[in-house]
Amino acid sequence: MGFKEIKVQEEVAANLVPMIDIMFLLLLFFMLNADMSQRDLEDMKPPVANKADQDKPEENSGRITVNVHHSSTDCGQYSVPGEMCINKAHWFISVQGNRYALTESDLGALQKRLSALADANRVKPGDKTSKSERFVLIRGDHLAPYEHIQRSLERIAGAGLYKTQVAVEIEKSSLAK
Amino acid sequence: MAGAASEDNPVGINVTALVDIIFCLCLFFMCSLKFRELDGKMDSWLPENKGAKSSVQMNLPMDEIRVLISYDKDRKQIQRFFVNRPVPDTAEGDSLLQKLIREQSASYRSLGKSDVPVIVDAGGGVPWKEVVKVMNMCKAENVQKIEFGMGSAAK
Repeated sequence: MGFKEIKVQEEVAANLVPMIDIMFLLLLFFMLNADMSQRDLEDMKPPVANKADQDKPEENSGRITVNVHHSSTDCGQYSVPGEMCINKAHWFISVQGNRYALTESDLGALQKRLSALADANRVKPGDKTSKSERFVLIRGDHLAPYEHIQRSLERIAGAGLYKTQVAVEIEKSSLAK
Repeated sequence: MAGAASEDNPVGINVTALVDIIFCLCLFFMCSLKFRELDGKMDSWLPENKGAKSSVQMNLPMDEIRVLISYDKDRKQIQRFFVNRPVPDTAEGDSLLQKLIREQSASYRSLGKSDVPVIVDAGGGVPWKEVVKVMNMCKAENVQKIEFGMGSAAK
């Protein structure tokens, strides 16, 4: 008996729908992790301490972060371990992504910025001379000369802010305990 | 397949471009992802009513524990003083300084003065980590108030 062979042409195609679903989930995960508030934090190595309190972000909403950091790609001194860069032009103070050099004009601009940020929590609202209850986190590079930290402290105090916190890296060995 | 052409629905959506874009976005966020490191903090205080222009006269503290730190640029050496007593920048010196802070704060506590501040007064050239090291000692000794000196050694 001669049956005629029926040729069924099947279209072979990869089902992309589950892949798209997974990709969307991954995208969501990475987007949520890329916390945009992290722009407050400049790239640096803070000093190490073993008796610090762990910083919980939920407890510090509204806190101002002042970074004192080194920023020069061609600094021979800073790249040597343990050496301290004393070139003032290589150091900056950054607040909310705005960078200020250690010059009088820039420091004046920094104080204005801090003062504007402090206004929201003044003890006497509207009075620029009254103190502010807002917290300030000072993130200094471990090798930053203290005078640069001091310049930032002066401007912080000048803006009426006095509640400060110092950012440190918690020593790994102390976490194990 | 959803969106693709079928016998009922001859108009299909080409999802290849969408997949490409999502891949690119995923790559971007993966590369920019930086897991939050374990950060710590130490509370400190700036003198109130000192920075902001205020008519309030600041009362100078009569009781304080002052640690002076300076940096010898020529010898690249840290010099520390507890009040007037020199404390070497060594591991033994660290233990000694911590002991002195402990004893001094304990003696103030015994007098009922628990909020006597430790003032860390450092010179301009002192690396920040040295100041934080002293702050760490204060934290270890349960000193509640750590202040930054804005004066003498820095000048």
